[in-house]
Amino acid sequence: MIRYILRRIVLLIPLLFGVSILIFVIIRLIPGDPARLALGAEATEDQVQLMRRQWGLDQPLPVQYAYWIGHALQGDWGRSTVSRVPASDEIGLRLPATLRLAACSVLIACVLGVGFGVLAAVRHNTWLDRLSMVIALLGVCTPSFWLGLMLILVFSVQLGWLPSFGQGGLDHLLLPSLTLGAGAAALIARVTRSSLLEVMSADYLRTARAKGLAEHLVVGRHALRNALIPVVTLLGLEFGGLLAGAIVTETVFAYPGIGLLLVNSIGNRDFAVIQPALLLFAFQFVLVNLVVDILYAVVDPRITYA
Amino acid sequence: MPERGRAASSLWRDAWRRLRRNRAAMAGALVLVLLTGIALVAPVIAPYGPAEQDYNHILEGVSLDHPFGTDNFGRDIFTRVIFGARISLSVGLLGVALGLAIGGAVGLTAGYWGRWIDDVLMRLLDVVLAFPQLLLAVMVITVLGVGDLNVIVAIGIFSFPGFARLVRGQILSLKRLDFALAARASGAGELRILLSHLLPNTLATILVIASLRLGTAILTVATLSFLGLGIRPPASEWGTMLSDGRQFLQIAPHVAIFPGLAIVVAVLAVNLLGDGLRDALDPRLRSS
Amino acid sequence: MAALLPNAQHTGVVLAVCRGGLTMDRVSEYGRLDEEWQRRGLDRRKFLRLVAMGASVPTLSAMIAACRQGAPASPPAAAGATQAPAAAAAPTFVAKTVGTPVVAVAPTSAPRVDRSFLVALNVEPDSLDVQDTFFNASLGVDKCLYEGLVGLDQSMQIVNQLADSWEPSADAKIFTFKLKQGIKFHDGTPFNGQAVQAAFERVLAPDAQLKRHGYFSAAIDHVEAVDDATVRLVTRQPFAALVATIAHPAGGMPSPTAFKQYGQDFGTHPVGTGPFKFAEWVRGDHITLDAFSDYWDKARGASVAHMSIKGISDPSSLAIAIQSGGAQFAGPLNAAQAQQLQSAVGVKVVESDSISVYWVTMNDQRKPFDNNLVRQALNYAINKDAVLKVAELGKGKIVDSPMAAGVWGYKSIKTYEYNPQKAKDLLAQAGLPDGFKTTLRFTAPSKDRAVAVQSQLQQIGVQVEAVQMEVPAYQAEESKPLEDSTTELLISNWSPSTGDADWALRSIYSKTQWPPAGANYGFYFNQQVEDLIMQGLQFTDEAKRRDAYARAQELIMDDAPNVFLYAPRYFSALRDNAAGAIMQADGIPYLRTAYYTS
Repeated sequence: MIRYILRRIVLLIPLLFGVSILIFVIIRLIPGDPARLALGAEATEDQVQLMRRQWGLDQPLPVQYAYWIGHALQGDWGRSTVSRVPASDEIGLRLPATLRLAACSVLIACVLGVGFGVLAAVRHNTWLDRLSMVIALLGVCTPSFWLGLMLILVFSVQLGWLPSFGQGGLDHLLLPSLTLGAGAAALIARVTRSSLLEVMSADYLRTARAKGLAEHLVVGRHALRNALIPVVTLLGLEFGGLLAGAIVTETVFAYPGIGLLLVNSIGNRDFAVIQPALLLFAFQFVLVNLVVDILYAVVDPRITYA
Repeated sequence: MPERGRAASSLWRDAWRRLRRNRAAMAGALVLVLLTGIALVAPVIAPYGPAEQDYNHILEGVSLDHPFGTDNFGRDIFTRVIFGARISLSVGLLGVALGLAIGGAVGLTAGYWGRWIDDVLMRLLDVVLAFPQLLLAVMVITVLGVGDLNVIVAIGIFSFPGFARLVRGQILSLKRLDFALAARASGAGELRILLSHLLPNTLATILVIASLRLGTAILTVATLSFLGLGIRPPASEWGTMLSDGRQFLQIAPHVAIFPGLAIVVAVLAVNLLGDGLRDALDPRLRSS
Repeated sequence: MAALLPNAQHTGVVLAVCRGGLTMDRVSEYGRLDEEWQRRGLDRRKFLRLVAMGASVPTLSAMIAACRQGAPASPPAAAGATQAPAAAAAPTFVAKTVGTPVVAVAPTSAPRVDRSFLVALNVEPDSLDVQDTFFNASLGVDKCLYEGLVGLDQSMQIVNQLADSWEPSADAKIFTFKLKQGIKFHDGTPFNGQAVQAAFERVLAPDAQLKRHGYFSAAIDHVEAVDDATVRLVTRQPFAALVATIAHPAGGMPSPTAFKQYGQDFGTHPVGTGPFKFAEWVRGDHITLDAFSDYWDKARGASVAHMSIKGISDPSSLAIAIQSGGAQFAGPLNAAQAQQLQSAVGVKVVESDSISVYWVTMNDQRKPFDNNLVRQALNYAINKDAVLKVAELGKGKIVDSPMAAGVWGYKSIKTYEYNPQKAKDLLAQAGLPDGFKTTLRFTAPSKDRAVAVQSQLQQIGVQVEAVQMEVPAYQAEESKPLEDSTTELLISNWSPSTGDADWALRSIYSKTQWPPAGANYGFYFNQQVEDLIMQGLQFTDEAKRRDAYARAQELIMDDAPNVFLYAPRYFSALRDNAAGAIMQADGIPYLRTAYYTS
């Protein structure tokens, strides 16, 4: 077990290197001369050549990679070609906003998902159950950007209750979190329901009921705890995907987080910002998956890993 | 061998029976068939052309002439939604097919040759899987540029790891089953034996995975187009229509409502069918 | 005099927002000529105008002489259209001479109120380093923070700002500016000759990697501070357009202390001499400016205590911002939002002219667009009213000339009426009865225009593949020289920041501006038009100038190098209790005079 965990953590390093190489290659494949793109339409040849030399663009690729990685490990990602602000600052300034959004979405996903899931399981085979599951299914199938637009239409445009863009207080966070968390909420609801149903029919619960324990205690104390194990792991997996989903949600709501930054910097060919942003997305995805795998191994000793 | 043949056909028969009883899956299948049919005959049944602009009827709401209203070019949204089905379904299917092809090849190579090739390919797979799918698609489009073909490639690239793992796993388990011995004994090539037994065993799982992937693929096509990174205009792709309709949300919300509904319906149908297939073909798969 | 120029905003001086170097004839002693002119009882404003148009000294002398004789002098031979520093090179503009402001002094500002004025722009500024940006939004904010030696006011007139007066040398290579005294930057650094020298040296250094390097170094060789109150700007070649060049907002003076201190971070810590000073920038959210209490021109300082600028890229959200009272000014808005806001309470929508024109560029050196019949066919094939309706909900004006009606020198020539049958006939005549295939490149903001054009060309058999590109990629492609160019059709736009026919025509239709040097992305060349454009710079007689440009416009319209579409309107919105902010005709928001009416 410990060996498994340690092995996974150690394997993380070559994986991240592989990811960084892939990102590096992809960036280099993007058409266009980075120096010319950075300096704008009126750049003189001298300027462009100077910048190319400064960025080492005339060096062979492995040298460029070493240069990039060397600086990156020291925290120097270069400066944004749009704003001249250090790329690490651009990202650092926006990361908290996205994290806030992700956290709020996870919260909403949990509350809505577990809530509906429990409701459906407890009222198994009633109209409530079926309705919840239909809504959950719709939640999985609805594109987040459409959901976001519909929410804007109703709550911002028609009713005027909530703002449709930017960040600020809780009211700015509500619609985007709802949009981002809807998909995860739907999945959680379905898994909660099926997991709870499975557990609720277990023998030890029959014993509890036979002892005369009230139903809600049976569900609340015993069943739910066991049922939530797969839910937690699902949540972990979903969180990893949430940050990627933030790309779309932030675009819809003009929410100034990393997702919007990535979309804009790709459009602006702002290579200095694209690279660390991509790395960040990949890194957190890998990390979250690793944590989930480890948690799973810890929580469910029945599963063995080669 | 006859044993296996009988087992295989009864597997399919049982599965079909189970699927038929699943009403939700049948509904999904019906909708999917309907959508495919509509997509195929779109040019015939559509009341207008998808690029047909009518400047006298700009941004009109729902009416008898235009059941879904018109957009800012005066184009009939109902027509465009129908034609959008063609794009979404074809690009989605082709993307999944490409992913299957690449994944199959990679998995076969890794499983059959084993050793260091397997290690290298699995590491490569890990690297690809390290990226969230949408991100990978966005990166592919950024490098290759916008367009139908590139979207298909993007979908293929983020889909193939799943198929690769599946095929590799099958090959590995087949290898363990002393097939090598049997092959050498019967004189047939090991690879041929593997391949001939690979298909029937994996077909079921491939079908399930592919159908669920199709749902993701359709969503991805729409998302990429929404971000401006998908199908070229003036193609009537659902995601593009949503993106275009954004600025008219206040004066003409119908431009954004209907394409979105179409996406939901299509993905819903595919998911229902996929779920049903999974339940029908192998109840054990439920846990995977 | 007023009768000559219907639009008062063009009584000013021509400015050169130049892309490449410009050369000029040798000139001398404009001051002397000025006096001579006035002695003869000629209109001084006319003189200044002619000088601004590039009239050389010999020409002016000849004119004065001609006046004596009563016969018009013939202009010097049209110069070769090159950018090489040849003696008989292309004439350029000469800005006004011995300096007093050309226009009346700007009105005094409203008294300051202790409130914050909220501005919503359609994109967040990229950098507040005035020497490092091309964004109109950034330039709009820069005009609140910085001032140049000379500048442009809200009706695009050139005015003295930090300079009291200025004077070109005899060979127009050395421009001596007398600076106003007693001015301080926001950080207390005194504004003086050394500061000006340092500011220019910053942008002229090739290793500075500033986006405006090319713009300034094409003209200026170096800058010398003679003393605290005097600077000399020395140009590479005789370059009379210098004053115009630095009147552009990019000529704003940054504080040397600040940019030395902040280095590459200066874009987020801007310091200038303007009526507002920088307070903070919450990236991705908003920029806050505070009124600068020690602003040198007391009468024209800030009228609000704070200004907050936000970039909202989604058009619906921009409209919602002003509707909900979250902003006092929102602009530029697109037509759909403007229409929707007409019915909103508490908001007034302002529609202003633009000198911006949209057209479809055709690569005139590439088949089949090298054939005039084909080009005309495309012009007849496009229903311009429809494109206007689709892209701007009908708000705008179909252009009947390569330039917008508000530009000086504009003449109404003709439009190609919508006639698809004629278009097909012309194509058949050109040997393409079945049409042909081509690609149309555009960027996201022009998508509606592109789709409309594509659909209409389809009707006459021209299969257009519409390729949407991101701005950097699009610019890279269109700036390729002819031998590398793959341009076929482009959706293009031009806004001549000078407001004068010269920059409206020369930048697009002169061979000197073929990429990568300039913006003639269609590789158009017509020797006659070339000559006329150059003549327009040389003629001192205003009527003659007009004639030359009118003739040039006629020839261009006949050549139909592009499919001319329309000039849009700029829309902005103000809350009922706000005023003083407006969209300039060149697309830069003018914000520094914002105030509350109640």
